Amino acid sequence: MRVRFAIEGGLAHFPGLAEPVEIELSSLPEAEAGALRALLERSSAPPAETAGQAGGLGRGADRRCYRIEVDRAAGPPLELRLEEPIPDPELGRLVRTLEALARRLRRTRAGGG
Amino acid sequence: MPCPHRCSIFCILPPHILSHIARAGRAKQRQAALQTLAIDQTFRALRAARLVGPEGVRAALAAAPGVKRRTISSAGHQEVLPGEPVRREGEPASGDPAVDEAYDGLGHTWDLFNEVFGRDSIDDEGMALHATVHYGQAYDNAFWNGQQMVFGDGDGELFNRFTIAVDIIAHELGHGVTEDEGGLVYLFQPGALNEHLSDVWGALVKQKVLGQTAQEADWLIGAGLFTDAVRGRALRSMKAPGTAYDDPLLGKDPQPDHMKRYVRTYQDNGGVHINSGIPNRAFYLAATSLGGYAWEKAGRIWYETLRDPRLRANTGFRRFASLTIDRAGFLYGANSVEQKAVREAWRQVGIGIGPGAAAPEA
Repeated sequence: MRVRFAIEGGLAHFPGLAEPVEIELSSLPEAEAGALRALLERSSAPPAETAGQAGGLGRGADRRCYRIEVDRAAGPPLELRLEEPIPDPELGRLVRTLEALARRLRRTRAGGG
Repeated sequence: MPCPHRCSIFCILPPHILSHIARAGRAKQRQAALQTLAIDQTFRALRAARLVGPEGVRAALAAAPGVKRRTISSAGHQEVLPGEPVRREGEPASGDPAVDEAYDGLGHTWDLFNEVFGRDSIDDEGMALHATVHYGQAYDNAFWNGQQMVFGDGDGELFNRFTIAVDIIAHELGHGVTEDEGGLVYLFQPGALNEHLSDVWGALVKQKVLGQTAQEADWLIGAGLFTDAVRGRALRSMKAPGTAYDDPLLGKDPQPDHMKRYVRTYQDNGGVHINSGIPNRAFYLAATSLGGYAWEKAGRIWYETLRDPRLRANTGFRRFASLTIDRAGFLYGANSVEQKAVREAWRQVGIGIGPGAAAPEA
């Protein structure tokens, strides 16, 4: 299972954060991969109203938008576009988990260890 | 200070006389005339929106001086809104830097809009100001959700707490003002103008707090927000868009400083935080050309442009530029130094609008 994760928008546009990070679950420690897999399975069919509000025409500004694409072994790819605040706790946990993983991977790639 | 009496004589004066007083009068006369012009603008906006009625008239007359009504809540590191109130208007400092910075920042922003522009809070009708701090865990953002401001603590690796910079607090509150004045849609050029206006209010509040003239100011937005680990000075530079940061993790500041470098993208709601660099630099050029405190002339021109009923939700850069030039002429006279400075500022960022160009119709 492979996940692509990107953060757009927020108070500023950071090209380094908007660039999708690819997370291959098989490359993660067993426990971490299992936890992420469980979160992804619970998020596979989010109700429409949990997917945040549409950007642009709604009220508010500077909200971040999260793009999550999942290539699964079976079934069609999962694509989520979530704009904060994310009212669904499971989706919120998924985003924060991916954000932390992405931060770690970016730091490693940038040579920060 | 706002005029304590509504100066009823101005109610029967035509706008061109008020404009003359605003240009040539003594300081107190100028302040009163500008406030009256602001109210006159409100009436015209209400007429344009076909909203004139007893309530609309009352709302306009109720503007400034007003009183602050701030409430700062804590989300307790969860992603909940509004959270638990921790400091209300008039209560002493809490000792929590995020709470007290948000409280003070909202106060400074309210003061700028009230003392300089005669506006009574976000909606010009005394709206209470709500902010939530300690939102989420290691949360790297601040936003306006359409009703209140929300501030994260930052992850401590890249970002410090988002209340650390007063211009960020003013930026978020400024989104509320823009939304209240008809709302530039948060997409493409209108969205970039929405972002630009918030940066303008952010810069003006910061400069007013520091007592800086346009020449003395650094024109950085969000200085102090990055940790020492980031190669960058701030989120944006209004003086030199595209130079605020260049970091291995965050990437390079993508803001253009001229229409020749305008970025066509579907990311970031069509580049709202990217292409705002172009009008940001135009404002910087106008303010430094005019000299003195940026909120006195450039800020006034931009504020009156925001309130102009001809500013539509889908207004792009060219129409906005044309309106600022028109407002400069209205406030300071056709072909005045001020109008020429604004026109030249837009020309320098690649938006040339000739002296003979007609102002946009309502």
